[in-house]
Parts: sequence; C-alpha cells; structure tokens
Amino acid sequence: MGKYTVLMGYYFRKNRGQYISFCFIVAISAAIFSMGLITILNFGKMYERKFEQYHCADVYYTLFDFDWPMGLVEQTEKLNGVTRVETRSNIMLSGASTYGNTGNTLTHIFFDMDEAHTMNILEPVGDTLELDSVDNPIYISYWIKASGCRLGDRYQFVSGDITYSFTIAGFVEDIMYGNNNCGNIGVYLPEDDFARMYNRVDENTHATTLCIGLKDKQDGKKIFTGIVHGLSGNLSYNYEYTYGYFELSQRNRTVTATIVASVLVAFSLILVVITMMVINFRIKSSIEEELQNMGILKAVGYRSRQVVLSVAFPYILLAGIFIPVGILGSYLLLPMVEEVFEQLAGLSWKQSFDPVSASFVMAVIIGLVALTTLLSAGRIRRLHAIEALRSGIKHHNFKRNFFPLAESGWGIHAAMAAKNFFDGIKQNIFLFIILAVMTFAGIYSGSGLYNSMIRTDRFIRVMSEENATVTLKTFTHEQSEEILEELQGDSRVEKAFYYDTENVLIDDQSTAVFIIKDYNKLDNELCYEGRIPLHDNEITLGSSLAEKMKLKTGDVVTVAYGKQKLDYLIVGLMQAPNYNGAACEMTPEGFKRLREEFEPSTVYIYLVDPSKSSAFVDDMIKAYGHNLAAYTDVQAMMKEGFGNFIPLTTMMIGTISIIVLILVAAILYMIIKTMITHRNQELGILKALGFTTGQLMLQISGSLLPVILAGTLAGGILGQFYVDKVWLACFYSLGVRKLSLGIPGLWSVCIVIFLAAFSLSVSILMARRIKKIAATQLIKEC
Amino acid sequence: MVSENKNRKGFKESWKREFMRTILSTKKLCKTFSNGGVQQHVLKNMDLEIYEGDFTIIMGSSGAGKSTLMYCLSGMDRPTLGQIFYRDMDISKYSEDQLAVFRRENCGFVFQQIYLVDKMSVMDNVLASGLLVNKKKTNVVQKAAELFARVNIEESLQRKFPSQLSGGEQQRVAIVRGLINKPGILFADEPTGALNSSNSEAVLDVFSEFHREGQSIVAVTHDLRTALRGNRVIYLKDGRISGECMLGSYHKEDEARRSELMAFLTEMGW
Repeated sequence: MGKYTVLMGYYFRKNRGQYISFCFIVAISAAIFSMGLITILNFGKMYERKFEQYHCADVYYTLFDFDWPMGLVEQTEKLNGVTRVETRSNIMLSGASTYGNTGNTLTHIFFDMDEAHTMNILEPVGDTLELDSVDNPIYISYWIKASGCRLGDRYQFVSGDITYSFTIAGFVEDIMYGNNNCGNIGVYLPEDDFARMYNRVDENTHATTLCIGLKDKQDGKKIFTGIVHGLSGNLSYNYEYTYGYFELSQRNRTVTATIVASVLVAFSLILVVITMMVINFRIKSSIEEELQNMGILKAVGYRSRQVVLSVAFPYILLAGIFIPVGILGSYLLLPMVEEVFEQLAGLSWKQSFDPVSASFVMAVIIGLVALTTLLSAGRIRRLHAIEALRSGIKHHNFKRNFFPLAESGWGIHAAMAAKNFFDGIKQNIFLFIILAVMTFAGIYSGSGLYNSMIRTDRFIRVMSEENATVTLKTFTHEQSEEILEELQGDSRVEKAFYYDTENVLIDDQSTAVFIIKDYNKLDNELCYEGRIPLHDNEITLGSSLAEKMKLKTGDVVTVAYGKQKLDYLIVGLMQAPNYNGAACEMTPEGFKRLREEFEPSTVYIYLVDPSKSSAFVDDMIKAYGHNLAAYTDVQAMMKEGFGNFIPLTTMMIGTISIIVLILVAAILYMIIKTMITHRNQELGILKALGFTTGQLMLQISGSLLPVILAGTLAGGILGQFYVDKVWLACFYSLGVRKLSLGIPGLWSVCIVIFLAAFSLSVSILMARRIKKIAATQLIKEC
Repeated sequence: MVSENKNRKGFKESWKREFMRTILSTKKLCKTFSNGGVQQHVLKNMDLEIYEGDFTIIMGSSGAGKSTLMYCLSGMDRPTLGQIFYRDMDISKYSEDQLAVFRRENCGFVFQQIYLVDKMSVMDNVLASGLLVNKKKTNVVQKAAELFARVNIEESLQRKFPSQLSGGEQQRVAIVRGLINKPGILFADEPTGALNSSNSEAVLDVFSEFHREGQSIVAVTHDLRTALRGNRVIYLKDGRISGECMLGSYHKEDEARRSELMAFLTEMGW
C-alpha cells in the first residue's frame, strides 16, 4: 500500500486544484441527482402511504342530489371488485374564498366532519384549536396552509350574495379534494355548524359523495369507467372535477413534483456525463504530462496495474468521499424542495434519510467514475517503459504545420494564437462540446426562469387546456344564450364563446370531450397534428388515446355515451395535459349525435383587462346570480395557484442557474488548467525567448477565443431552437406534444455573451498563473 | 579569491581587455534558493565582467552555480541581492516584462535540451523569436535563410518539425533561433550535452565561426571540447569565482592550448 500512497500523494500535490474542481463537480452532481431521486422514489410512495393511512375511498364521485340516480349505491355494490360503498352528504357551492392575503375560487364541498364514516378518515396535521374556543370553526386542506394561512385566521366564503365566515381551527390532508389540481376543495365543519349551513343553502346545492372501497385499488379506473358509463346521458350537470380514483388522484397530487424531479435527475445525469468526459480528458492529458515519470516507474519495476491504479484511484477515492458530501447537501436543500412540493400537493412531506436513493446515487456515480478512470488510464498498460522514457508518443506525432509564420499575413501573436488553436484541435473540440452543452443548459435554466417569472401564462397553457378569464355555467341553454348576447356588447369583453366539457367512453375509458363551435377563437390550440373537427362526424383525438389504440389521422374511432355508440373520423390529434392526453374535441353537432338533448351552457369569457376579473364576476353574479349553476374566476384561480408557487420555483431555478455557473467555472478551470499545464514547457521556452506574460496570456486566450465563441454560440443556437424539445420530453408523459417555452432571442444572446465572457475571464485568470513563474521554472516543469 | 593564470596568451588577453568594452557585469551578485525552509546560497557576492566579443566559458563542478549564474546574467532569473548591468542598464531592477523585452532584444539562448517548440516547424521556431523584435517579416525570413545556410540546415529541413531532425540539426536550429535577433550575447547552457561527438563538433564549429565574427558568447559547460572553443574560462566553486584562464583565439589541433586549459582545470581541482 505504501507505494500507492507515495504515487497518489505525488498526483494529489501536483494536481490539487484540479482535484478540488473534480470534488466540487461530483458533489454538486450527487446533490442534484440525490434530490431528484429522493423525490421520484418517495413522493409517490408518500401519497400511497397517506392514501392507506386515511383509508381513502378507492373511487369517489360527488353528485348533486337532484342528479342522484335511484339505486346507485345498490348497483355499485354489485360491481365486481367492490368491497364496500359509503355515502356522505355534503354541500357543493361555487364561490370565492379569502384567507390571509390570498384566496381561491374553487368550488367548495362542505362535509360534516363528525358524520360516522369508515373511509377518508381525516386527521389534523399539526396543532388544532379547541372547537369550543372559536367561532364557526372550520378544518381546511393543508394546501391552504402551504399558501401561508395560519391557525385562527379568518376564512371567508362568498357564494352568490351570501358570505360565510369561519375561523381556521385545523388543517387536514384531504386526499379527495385537497389541492388546486382537484378542481374542488373539501372543507369540514362540526356537525351542528354543518347542519345549520345545510338548512340555510339552496337545496340545489345539496350533494352526496359516493365512496367506494375495492379489493384492489388499482382497479379504480375500471370501476370508475363502469359507473360513468352507467351515468352517461342521465346527468344534468357537468361533474368534470368531482370524481376521482386512486390512479387519477395520485397523478393530480404528484405529477408536477415528479416532472420537476425528472428534470433534476436528467440535469444531474448530464452533469455526471460531462464530469466523466472531463475526467477522461484530464487523465489522458495527465498521462502525456507524466509520460517520462511513468516510464521511470515502469523501468524501475512498477507493474502497469500499479501505475494505472495510482492514476485512477485518487478520482475513485475522492468520488467516494464527495458523493456522500453531495448527498448530505441534498438533505440540507431538501426543506426548500419539500416546501415547493407540499404547496403543489397539499400534503405534508417530511422526508427522512432514504438509504435506497443514497445507495443508488453512490453506486451510479462511483461506478461511472471508476469505469471512466480505469478505461482512460488503461492506455498506460500499452505504454512500454523505453517509449515512455523517450516521450515517444509525443515526438512521433508529425502534424501539419498550421499557419506557417513565414506565409501568414497576420501579426505574430494572432498567428501564434491561430497555430495554438489548430494544434490543440482535439482539446478544442472537447471544450466546444462542453461549452455548447453548458450554454444549452444555461438557456434551458433561463427559459425556466423566464417562463416562471415573466411568461407564467405559457407554463399554464402547457399544463392545462383553454384558460379564459372567467367561465360561467347556466342551468339552461336559454340562460347562457341571453348572457352571451349581452356580453357581445360589453366593452370589457374581448371575446366570449361556448366551451363545454362532457365525458364519453372511448376504448372503455372515460374520456373528456371538449365541445366547441368556433375553434378559431381559442387561445390555446391543442391540436398538434391534422386539424380541428369541422363536421358532426369528425373528432380530434387525444395523444395518449391515439398512441394506446394505435390510431392515426384518417382512422375511425368508436365513441360511446350512455347506450349510444357511434363512429367518428379522426381528423387530428391533440394534447390535453390535465387528462394525460385522454381527451377529444368535437363540434356541438357532433356531440348531439351522441346526446340529442345537448345544448351548450358553459360560456368562456376573455376580458380586455384580465386583472379586473374579480369585479366582472361580481357584476355577473349581481345580474345573473339566480341563473348561474357555476362560475369560475380563472384569472384569480391561476394567480392563486401560481402566486406562492412561482417565487419558490424561481428561487429553485435561480439556485440551479447559479450552480450551473459555478460548475461551468469549475469545469473550465479543469480543462483550461490542463491545457496550460500541457503547454508548460512551450510557454517556458517562449517566455525565455522574450515573450512577455501579457503576450502569452493573449495568445492563450486568443487561441481559446474561437472555441469559446463557437461553443457558446452553438449552444445558444441549439438552445434557441431546441429548448422546446427538452421541455417536451419533460411533459411528454402528460400527453403534451407541442409547446412553446423558448426564451426571446435577446435573452439567448445575453446568456451566450455572459457565458462567453465568463469563460474567457476564467481562461485569462488561468493563464495568469504563468505570470509568477520564471521562465527557467516553466522550462524545467516539463 | 581570483587566481589569475598569468601566461603568454593571458598577458596578451589582459592587454587587449584594456581596450574592450564590458557588455555584462555583476556587483555583489547573490542568489539564494529556499527549499523546504532551508536556505541554499548558490551565488555569493560575485563580481564579474563579461567583455564584448569574448567567448566566455563558465565551468565548475555540479552545484557550483554555473547555470544559476547564466540565468541571472541573461535576465531569465532575478538575483536575490546585488546588481547586474548590461552595458549601462541595471537589469536587476527590471520587472518581468522588462526582462522579457531585454531578453528578446539582447540575448540569444541555446539549451542542452535544445527546447525547440515541438509543434512548430523549424522555420516557425526561428520566426516566432525573430518577429518579436523585427516587425518586417521579409527581413526576418531573409535573415533566417542566411543563418540556416550558414549552419547547413537545408530548406527542406526548415519545413519539418524539430522531432524529425537529428539532435545536431536541432541544436543548429536553436543557434539560428538564438541569433536571429542579432543579440548582444548568445547564452549557451551545455550546448553539446545531449549530442554525440560528431554533432558536437559541428555545433561547436558554428559557435566558433560566429565568435570569430565578433559575437559575444557565454557558455556553461562540463565538456572540455566546448571549453577549448572559448577565449576565456571562468571556474566557479561554491558560488564564487575560483579562477580564470585566458586562452586566446581558437585554432584547431592547438595542443598547447589544450594543455594550458588542462593545467588550469587541474589547478582548480576539476
């Protein structure tokens, strides 16, 4: 072991700056990788654990009592795989709530928290207030707590012209209706308060939730589809967001966290790959630098294996020390990530140490480091002692003489820089690739920052379907016709049109159908291939359905609604992230073929000034309150949904951007230092001949300038044109097939200029190290 | 402690020096290296004068300070104490960049390890040095061609890379590089140390030829054949000048000169 220690000690001393950079890159990669993996492996499991802990219903469906079909419970009990069925009375009210400095406009489902039940047993998270000590106590979702609300805060809910005022007495992790993605929010009142409210509200808001327990919760989708099939055509209200089953609910609560985690893992793996490339480059350069010393070692009797290990082992050893440091760092940063994901999911997440992800990160990175170092150092085996002593490899490489000084029309320094550039072409290609990849990563981070800070609407468009400023749903078509006619003359309104959503069955799967007359009025065109439906026999089919059923434009698909089954011609393919691509588009006439009595009743309204949506909604309630079955201030909802999420996301992306920058510096340091060390003798000779430090720095920086400019420019161009492809890969599982999340050209130019200037500064700083070294030292350093 | 070997030729040389200009001189020159906290005094209070047109040989045992003296004289390294004058300029006070300019304009170098830049062609190695001082490329190329012709480096070799040439050819290229800027002094550190005898002779002939034409040369060597080419031999011991020998002009097969040098070296304990 002693001989290894001596050799490794020598390499450590000689290249300590580069080893420090390596440690830094490895620790950062491990930290990001670990954080992504912890989330991917644990966030979904956390949801499953809570699902079991609260004995959640495997399938649930809330219907207004006026739509509740006779014998629904009995029929459901008879379904194969159903173990128990339970109903819970509630009140389903559209309205707007305010709490703290914020609020939401989700439909509220009020439950009696004291009602005897065996499913969806809720337990308060954290402290609670004594119910007797506060007026009108209410238990609300943990999602609202994550928005900054505290115990004892007022919670006001306005529905129509009635204001309900509550005091927050506790927070619960509601699995059914617990966050923004669920479309509704569940709130829980003590028995007496619930009874009083139940009697006070309009009977048309009385509703019942059907809770179903299954033998196997994975069958939830199948059972749910069966229920929907039975209900098709018999409901007067659109219950788009009131149902759920294990798989759907899990997706609603964990999808964003999983996507962010996937991005982190992908990002860290890119860093790991870059690290491997840098190690490979570093070791090969090190072998050339140490050729004679290795020859001496071999000549005095060291075996190839011993020399290989002495070169490779420091990297493996350092990786073994600094990967755990990175993993530890990920746990220090985890609270920040937990806060973001808690806010998204509405579930408390306190992650303890996860040995599986830690072992995996350790195994993957150290395995790759070991593989790369041993393969890179493997060429030492082929090196004969005498050849190494004569520095044979270096001297027998007769190259082309680029830019002969006698013929070049350039000045001496420019010509020397050009010669250096072509002589180090392999290194320059490597540096070009690294810079291009890092600039691409910079543009990617920049686009994340730009879209989460400035153009939040674009993220919203990707993550959802059409978003109007306000939506209204009336009880009858005549009522909506009247509202639509009034809106045509309203100067506050930019446009308004019908946009209804129903459920149909395609391939025995419940599928949302968007029924729109004039698709040209849509802001967020979902169709990415082919065209929108124009005739009553046409359909635009969701991406995941088309891929699952192996259908394409021009094929025919069977659509069922109730007992009606009809074939439609697929004229296009569309994306629908909220439905994982399981959706379709039809004309009103097309849907009428399935349900003859269908009349559009949901109006999408786009205001000239969306910020005035709240006042507009108030006016609409005053004017048409009695005709409105539901209304949503989408603008306010989006603002609420993203209001707290955006600063946290911005902070996270900002942190990643800073890490990218530090990594660029560390990687450039390793590469440029290696390149300069490689040229030490040459620089020494030139210095001895009378080149000043400034002139040599100019030559070094000048020779790197083209590759820095080309690399950052190439990365910038690729980023500008292809960053959407990376985002698309992130959102692909949601059924997204087209998006636009690129950044303005000026942003790209700024990122490219910044990274180029940064890289050049690093190269100049690196080149400065020759300043303090006398020519004689440089010559002898060979 | 300068012991002067007064002999026939020595007297003639000392008389000649009355009329010769000093090109380099040192006053109380000291150079100390610090290694692991241990101070190593390599040059100690050295007073020395190098004369224009001389082929000065610096000899001494290993560790005597020969190369250190040469690197200090040439501005490649700085003295710890004392002064170094090139003509009237005190170069010991120069900054790094001023020393670089001083080297390019006044010094030429020939090293034992030759130190041509591997990845540059033979011609480019010379031009890289020449174009630093003379901006007129045609003049530099012409001068390089003349020098190459004088040291017998054919045109075909000039386009090759150093590693494609023999050691002797490489060293002759290094001499051309050293002389391209018409330096006041050509410094040579063991110029034949890495060459076989025939190549050594060829290289030394080049040195002698340029010396005859008035080129000042300072060479550090252990090699007797190299020392014989000089007209003045300085012997260092423990960082001080222990003796000096005047040999006069070089002539081939001059046995008396050889004996004279051998006697001097024997006296010095070589």
